[in-house]
Amino acid sequence: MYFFERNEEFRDRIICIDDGGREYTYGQIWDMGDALTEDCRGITVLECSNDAESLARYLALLRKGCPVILIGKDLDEDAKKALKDTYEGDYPYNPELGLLLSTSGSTGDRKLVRLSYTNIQSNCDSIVEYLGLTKEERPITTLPMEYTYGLSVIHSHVAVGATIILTNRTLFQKEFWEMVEKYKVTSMAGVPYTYEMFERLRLREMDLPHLKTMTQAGGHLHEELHKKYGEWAAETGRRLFVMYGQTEATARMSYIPPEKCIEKIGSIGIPIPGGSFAIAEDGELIYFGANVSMGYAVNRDDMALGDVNGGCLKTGDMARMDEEGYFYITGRKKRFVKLQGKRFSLDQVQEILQEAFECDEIICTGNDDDGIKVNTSSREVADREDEIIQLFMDKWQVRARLVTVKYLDEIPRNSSGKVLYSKL
Amino acid sequence: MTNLEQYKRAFMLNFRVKEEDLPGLEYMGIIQWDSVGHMDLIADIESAYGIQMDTKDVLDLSTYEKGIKILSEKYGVNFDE
Repeated sequence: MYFFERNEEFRDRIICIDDGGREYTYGQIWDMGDALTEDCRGITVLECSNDAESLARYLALLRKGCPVILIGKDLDEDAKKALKDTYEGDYPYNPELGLLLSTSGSTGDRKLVRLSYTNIQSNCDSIVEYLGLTKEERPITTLPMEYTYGLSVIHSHVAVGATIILTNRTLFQKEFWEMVEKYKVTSMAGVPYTYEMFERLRLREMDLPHLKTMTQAGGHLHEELHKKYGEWAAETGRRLFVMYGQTEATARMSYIPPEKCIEKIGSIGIPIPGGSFAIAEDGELIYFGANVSMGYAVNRDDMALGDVNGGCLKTGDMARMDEEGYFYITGRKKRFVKLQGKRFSLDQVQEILQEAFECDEIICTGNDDDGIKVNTSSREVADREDEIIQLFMDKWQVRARLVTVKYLDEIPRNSSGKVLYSKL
Repeated sequence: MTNLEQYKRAFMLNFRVKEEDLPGLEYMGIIQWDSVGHMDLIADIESAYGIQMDTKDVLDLSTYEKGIKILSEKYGVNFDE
């Protein structure tokens, strides 16, 4: 049975509690979803937030066999319209196609990852298994529903009949912490900057007797935070799961078992149940598993495509394995950085800047921890630092401190004119 | 730089807003002052005055004006100089 189907065993259990403090049973959410999606046919764009109606609609569309393109309510109107115009409608599509998510890339086009019902079920099963989830769990949403990691929290808890505290509040709102306390929240998920916020809020000093599990994914957790939270978890009888995944693999690919959390700092762990890793000759990390997506969609015709990946995903990350079978990311195959849980192609960012500032001598470099460095040999462009940072903030919501502009006399190039990135 | 100037600067640098936009500015009121922006703002305020704010105050600092009140009343930051 798929996790989104009507599991009569759960009918009278509470599936979620929302920002208004309203409780909904599984049965109510099923009926509400069926009523709300009665007229939906074919491929459907669902604008969601962390509320009962979004959850009801989403599960109902999966049950009906309408492939769902999940987007955030706050996505800008142009992007929403572009997606709807491109994809929405009742036209031939692959019957296995269940869910379409935008890649965690944020500079790019409207490319979608095509996920099958098998993909999402398989990843959900793996997650339930390695986290040891039961119906007693009460996670609170800390991430958007349309984001693969946030969605995986919802999937895996619906699968076991648990109660999800659905909130759109942020960690910096008192009401969020009131909900954590009132509803006896048992777990929280976070991307690296969520852990920075936890630290800023001194989570480790808070009295949270019901909180038992913390999970982390969406990029490399700073080792200092990994250690602090790993030790805190160990000392207080909690579990910290540091994990690794991509939208292209539905969500998760690997995790560090909590008892190895401190010993394996810096690692992405071991493959999830049902998955496996291999390292290609050039060092690229390859993942195998039933959760590997069917491929991408860039236009309507692609909705009819079959599985082009065959359960094998080239992650784009370079990796090594230690003697105990734990994997470590050592670099990236292509030039991109992951900031605030989103993937930025340095080449694309640089092209956009070159165009916006009408100057070819702009080269972007960077890393996940320090952000993006905009190198330029144009004095004029360097003087427009404020505008450059503004563009990052407006277009991609990148924090000001993750963008630096550097003037240099000359962009280093080799004899054939290729940029020597390593010298920047 | 006076304490008030430092305070303004923290907002202006993190949220890229102009001085005249500061009055009435509130958390989640502009796209830049989201939870990530808030975290950075607090970090800059703490380092500007060499203080460490309580969790409660980090949560209460939800408008430009409230910040001045919290910092002057609870952390002894003098904004009148």
